[in-house]
Amino acid sequence: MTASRLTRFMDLPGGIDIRTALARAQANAEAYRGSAIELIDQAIDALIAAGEDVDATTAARLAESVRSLAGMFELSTLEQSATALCDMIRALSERGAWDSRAVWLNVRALKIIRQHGDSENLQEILEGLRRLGAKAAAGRQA
Amino acid sequence: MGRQANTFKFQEAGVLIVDENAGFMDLTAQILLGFGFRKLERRGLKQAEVRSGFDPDLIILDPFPDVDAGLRLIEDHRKRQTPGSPPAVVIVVTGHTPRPLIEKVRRVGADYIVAKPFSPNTLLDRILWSTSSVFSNVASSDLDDCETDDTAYKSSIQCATAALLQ
Repeated sequence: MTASRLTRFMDLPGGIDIRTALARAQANAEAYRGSAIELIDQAIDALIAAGEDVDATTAARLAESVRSLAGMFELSTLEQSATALCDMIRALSERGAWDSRAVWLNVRALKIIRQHGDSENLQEILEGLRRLGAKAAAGRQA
Repeated sequence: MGRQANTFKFQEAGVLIVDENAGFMDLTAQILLGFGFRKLERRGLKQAEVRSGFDPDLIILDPFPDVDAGLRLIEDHRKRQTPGSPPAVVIVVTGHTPRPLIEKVRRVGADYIVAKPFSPNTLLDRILWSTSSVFSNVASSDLDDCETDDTAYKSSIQCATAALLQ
């Protein structure tokens, strides 16, 4: 039985093994790190430039871009901060109760965390952002 | 389910990558190039809906932000499949995986859902699972001021967060 259209590419002469494929993929991804960090910075700068009046769609797109790229390169604190922003935007959008102050605060935190990286203890900020997101999800007005 | 084959040669396999995030699409392409894929077509959601002429063996798609368009794309692809012939593999990669979305993408014919961010290992696993004989086509204020004084800025964020939480 042929499982999928990819099955016919298995066990062919001149193929590569899993270890080789993963090593090449990791090397390619690592070579992309600089570009990814530029894209992260561009997304954060765009969020900052949009200011407090940023609309939910734009904020969600930019925050998700930061979150996913930071996560791919193990920028843990930045990823957590962007995740907090994504969660907040989603919660506020689902409730139809946009809170520009809370979103803007989260955007500014994202910027500062990007500047400090994972080297500083930013857990208090992250915890505050998580609580703010939970509050938004619970429907309490800030 | 484990990895099924010792070697693979994907250079002739066609891949369609659909993602509104061009940067992430490039990164995914780099990972796939590492796996040996060479025939990569990259499209945004709208572009992928209107353009045809490419018959991929593997589709990697993020349906956000237009989930309906993403679901339509998968559904339309499944409808065009030739009955009885091996199916293309559809992997949905997305940063947002609520249960209703997972159910919807499975219903329209996605094989796997992978949460962003993902490791190359995870993506390769799903690709190789799909080649297994047991694969059944069912998925499992002013920033400038703040930048000059980070300590004060961090403190101001913490104070503002506390105020909003009260």
